[in-house]
Amino acid sequence: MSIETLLPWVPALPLIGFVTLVFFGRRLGGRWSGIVATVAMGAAFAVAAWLALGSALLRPGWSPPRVMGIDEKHVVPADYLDHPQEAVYHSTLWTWMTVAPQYDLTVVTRPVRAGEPVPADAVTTIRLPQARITHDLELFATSHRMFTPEQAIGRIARLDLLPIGPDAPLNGDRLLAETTLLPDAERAIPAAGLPERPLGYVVDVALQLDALSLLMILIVTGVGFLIHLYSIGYMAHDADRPRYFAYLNLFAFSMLTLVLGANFLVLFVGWELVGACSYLLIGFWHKDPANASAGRKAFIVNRIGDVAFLIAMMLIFTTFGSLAFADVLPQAADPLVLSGGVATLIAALLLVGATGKSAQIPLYVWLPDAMAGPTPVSALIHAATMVTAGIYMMARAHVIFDHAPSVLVAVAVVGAVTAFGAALIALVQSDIKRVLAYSTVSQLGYMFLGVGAGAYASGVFHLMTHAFFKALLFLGAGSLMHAMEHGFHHGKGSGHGAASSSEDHDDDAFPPGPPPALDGIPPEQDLRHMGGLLRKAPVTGWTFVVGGLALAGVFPLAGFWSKDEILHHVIGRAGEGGAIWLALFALGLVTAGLTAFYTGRLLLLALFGAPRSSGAAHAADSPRTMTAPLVVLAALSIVGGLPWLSGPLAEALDPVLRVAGHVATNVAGSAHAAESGPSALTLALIASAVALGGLALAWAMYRPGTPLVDPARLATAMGGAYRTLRGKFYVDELYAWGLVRPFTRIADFLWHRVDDGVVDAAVNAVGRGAVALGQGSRRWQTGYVRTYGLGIVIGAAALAAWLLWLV
Amino acid sequence: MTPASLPELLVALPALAVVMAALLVVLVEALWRRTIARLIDGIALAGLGGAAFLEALSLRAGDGGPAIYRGAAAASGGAAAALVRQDALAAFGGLLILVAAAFTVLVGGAYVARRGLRQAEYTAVVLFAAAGMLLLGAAADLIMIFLGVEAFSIALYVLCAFRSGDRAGYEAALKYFVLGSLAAGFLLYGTALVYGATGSTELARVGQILSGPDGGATAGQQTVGLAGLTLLLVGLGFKMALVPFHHWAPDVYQGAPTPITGFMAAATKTAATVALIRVLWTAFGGLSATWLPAVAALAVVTMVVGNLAAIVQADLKRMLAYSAIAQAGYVLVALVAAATGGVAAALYYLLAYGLAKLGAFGVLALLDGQGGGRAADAAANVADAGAAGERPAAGPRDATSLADLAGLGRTQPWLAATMTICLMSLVGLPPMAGFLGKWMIFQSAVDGGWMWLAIVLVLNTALSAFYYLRPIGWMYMVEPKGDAVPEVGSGASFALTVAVLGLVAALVSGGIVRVARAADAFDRRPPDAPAGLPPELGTATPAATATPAGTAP
Repeated sequence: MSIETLLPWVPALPLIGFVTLVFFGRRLGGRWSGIVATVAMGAAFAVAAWLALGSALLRPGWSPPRVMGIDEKHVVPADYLDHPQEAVYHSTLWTWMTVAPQYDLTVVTRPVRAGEPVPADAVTTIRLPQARITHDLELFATSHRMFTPEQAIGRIARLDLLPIGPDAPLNGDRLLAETTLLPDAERAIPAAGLPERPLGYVVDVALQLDALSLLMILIVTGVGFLIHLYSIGYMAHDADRPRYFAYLNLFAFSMLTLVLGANFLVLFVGWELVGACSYLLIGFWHKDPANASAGRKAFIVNRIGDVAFLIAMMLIFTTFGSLAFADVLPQAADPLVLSGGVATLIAALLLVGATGKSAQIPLYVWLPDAMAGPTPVSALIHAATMVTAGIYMMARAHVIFDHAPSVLVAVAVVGAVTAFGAALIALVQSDIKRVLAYSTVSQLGYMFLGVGAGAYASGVFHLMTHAFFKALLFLGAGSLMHAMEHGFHHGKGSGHGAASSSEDHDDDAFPPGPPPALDGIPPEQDLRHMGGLLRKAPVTGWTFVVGGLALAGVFPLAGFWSKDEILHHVIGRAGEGGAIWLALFALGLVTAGLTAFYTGRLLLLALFGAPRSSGAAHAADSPRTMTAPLVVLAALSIVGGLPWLSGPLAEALDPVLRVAGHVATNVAGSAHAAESGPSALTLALIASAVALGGLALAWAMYRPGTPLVDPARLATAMGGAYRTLRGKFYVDELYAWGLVRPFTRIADFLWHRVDDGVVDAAVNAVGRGAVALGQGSRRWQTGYVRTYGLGIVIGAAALAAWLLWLV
Repeated sequence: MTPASLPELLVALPALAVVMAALLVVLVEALWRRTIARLIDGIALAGLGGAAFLEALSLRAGDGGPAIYRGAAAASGGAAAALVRQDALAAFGGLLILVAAAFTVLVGGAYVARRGLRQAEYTAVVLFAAAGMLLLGAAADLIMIFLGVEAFSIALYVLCAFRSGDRAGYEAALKYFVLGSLAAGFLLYGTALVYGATGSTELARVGQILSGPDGGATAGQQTVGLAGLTLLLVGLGFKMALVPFHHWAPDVYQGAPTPITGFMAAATKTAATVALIRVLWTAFGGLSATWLPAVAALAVVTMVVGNLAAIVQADLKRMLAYSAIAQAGYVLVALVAAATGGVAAALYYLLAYGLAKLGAFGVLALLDGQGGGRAADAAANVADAGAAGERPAAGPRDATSLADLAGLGRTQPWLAATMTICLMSLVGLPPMAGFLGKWMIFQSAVDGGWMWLAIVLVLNTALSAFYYLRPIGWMYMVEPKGDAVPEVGSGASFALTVAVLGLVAALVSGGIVRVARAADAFDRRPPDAPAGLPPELGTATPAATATPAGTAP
């Protein structure tokens, strides 16, 4: 099967799983639901892997046999063509809306004033797409009025044309042309090399496979499959498994749609769908109002970003006349089409959209609360895949960002500050999932920092490694929680305590059953109740250690390489001058230290030392379906960043993510700029030192036995600073006070005063008036034929009077 | 009339097929001496289907379809005078009428059988009415228009009084008959005046004389012609139920058997509209500057009065009657904007409207008898002013009050969904066909420079939402009262399914819009053929005479 026909199966398989579970989930039961969903995901991964092998998109230096190249569609600045062509496979499922087939345009090549006769020598014929229609005003209207192509022929269209091609003037002047649409007489002989493009616009439901989307689908299906597998064990005791797995499959479908979409519209559909799935899964245990409210919060905060994204899409459409990547991105490389102001506006709006989905300042507040969902959901959606959609989208649309250097700096600043702030918060959280949540926000900030530095490939690389180790950490945390719960239950039924082995002799130190929740944190996920779990749950424990070290950036694990690469590019930008990049680099480095510290704290509190509750004391490792994914992910976290993988990856991504040559002078292409900074080795040494320093500090404070530095005393000493961190900078409170409360008040006012008082009152008045008038009209409806006849005669007389005398 | 040649007979074949089916139905019952419902339905559907096939064939005819000419062509100055012209307009209207008739046969069969009435008679008379409507839709001559109107009207009088012993039905039939006769008088006098002004009753010829290139009508001729138009407007406006010629409609719609009400609402309106299109634009197109404001005013009055009165109705059949009046106003708006695609809009709208009305009345027809002893509820509404208000108690009562719909969403989800879709289409809510139809009317009005009329239309649509949505509320938000669940026959449920699917499919498929646009190319002005040469059968007159659809002025 060709790649184009195989491609739709990647999202289709999870969709089939979803539909199956929706209709037959109850009948299948929980166990089989999980198996169906997992098999669907596994099949999707198999297809994705087959695509990866068959397409060779990830093989560097490989030239695709069938190229939908940029130059075939549009004439673009020459320096863009010096590079190897972008390899893209397109799979158009169906064309949703086509306006008209290709036409030759008879164009009056000069501005037309109303009423002025058009001289014959000013008429020329332009075959689309040698002229790019930037605003087809009349045709756009035509399409909405549902004229058939036949009826469009002969109609006058007013077009705003930008001539392109070898003979076109290069000053970018546009022609306001009045054209008559003629049937294309020579359709059999298409203009050389020009694919037929419909006039007006088409909306395709199309998928696009290139190196970037291939990497994304490998991550989504691969990690997704592991998490499905894990979920079978983790959710084994949940009565609602069919619903859970249906949502999970729907999410996979949505995410795959997002990354495979060949235009912004399909991407946006996926974007919205993953948001909806996230909402459904955060509130999966919706019987607890807190969970439902967390789901709502995620959804609403995401909406803010979505609106910005939507506006950006509208701007893209008005600027480029299309939403397809194949149309928009090559055009965006052309400064004649995309002016700096518009580029800045679009990029800024896209950035806002990305901050919503990828949980960056100021819209990050939903992600920590999203941990209300089941832990595998946190791993899949809120760590490995969905939250990276913002980074993916920015990488995809990077051509636009390249034109907006100020926005790129903003991206980097947002990323660095988010990374730093979230790492600070993560230092003091006691909830294991919250630590990981803030860590996710922080790592996403790193990716933003990389993207902002123009190192899109590095951002995507970190996205990948982060998907491995953060999924591992979340699943590991889930497994630990599972182990703790097991321990609590064991402690509860302590009647058989005498029969248990001698190593349980210290369990009398803890009262049976779970201790009361502290600060509203469930005891099984409270670090203060853990301890010593490495011994009780060795597989989970050791893989957790691997994930933690990868997160901390310890050589040679995955996190080290990708984080190092981002920092490398940032300091490269600093080398060109610009104190801001130096500051961002410093922030990034400090954050690396903080990351290592909170990771160390997490590992030491959870896995080492003595158990601090009956749950920890009696914990037992999770079943095989849960630990197997952990092992695979741990392996990936070890090897996932090695240079023999990352080098070719960057090379494969290069055609997709390369900064266009003429823009590079403005934005500073990352690849060569990096060479001006400190050497890679120096940087690696510095970063390693920082990471080890952070870990060492954590060891000093949280090592088993007496700490060198007592955390409690330090917290007292720090006082306000500690409480601020503990309170997560009080951002939620600030939003509630500064945004939500005024908003509620305005809404209250609009409801009671404006809506009830004005709108409803007016509507009711109109309604009463209409009813009164209707009652009045009844007077004539007497039921007597004579009245009716009189009505006819009077009507006839009035009509005659009008027609014969009044006119 | 000289003996007609075979091609000429082909023109009349659709109507003939329907009449043959009707005669066959009567014969079958006379021979078998008992009612065989399936056989009767089968014969009727075969006749209607055959006619529909013939109509579909002539959909492509454009404005140059075959025609039956009056025999004395040479005698009347050389130009052959067409009596009936089977053009695309006639075909589109004819198809709508045939669908409505088939629907009425299927739904009405169950209705009639439940009351112990003669199904064969019912079916035959419905078919006769349909044949008359087909002739009216294809009429190219004022005499034919009169004949067509009378042919179907008489059949409808009978159908209104079809329930024996039902005083409401008798009253409706009598009212319809008396007022219909009055309207027929107007129609006939109008024809006479037009003939006096132009010396012809053929629409194309009249148009030629009043406005055509070789017409050169005097001011006097024009005045007399306009007087004729006034009377024709009254006559056809009566059939379309335009205000102020509408008073019969609520009483008759309410009194008539419910399937017949649906038939009247859908088919009569279609036939009368097609005839009015021809009268206004073929015969009087040249004087449109004079009559357009008056017709626009008629449209406004019709929309406003229809909607306002519909709001205060508690009886569903009356409500739907007033809604039919208001909808006629919308169609009239499209006729006003005929120069800018209004005819296509009107035709498409008639399709959407007809299906929705058939569906809505069809559901009511199937619900009869469910309400049992609540006749008193509805009695207050027989006539708005209460002059003729006794209800009969014989036989199952027609379901007509809002209360009859209570909880239908629970007890009869399928019927409730059908009703809901039909009502939503009547409001013009997307994604129903009514939305597209209303939108096409709106667009043609705006294109034609009738912005204020378009605004009135939209405001009226908003007004109408009130009474269309109220039954939906009753169906889904009120607890059911009775527990009697009507059985729905296979034929009736099939018909309802078709109506609903049609409403949805009409929007999805651009094909119907295209067909409606093609039907727009009817003979708007006199044919350009030089006088003295009878037009060849089957050859298209140059399309250049007709304004292409949608061309900006």
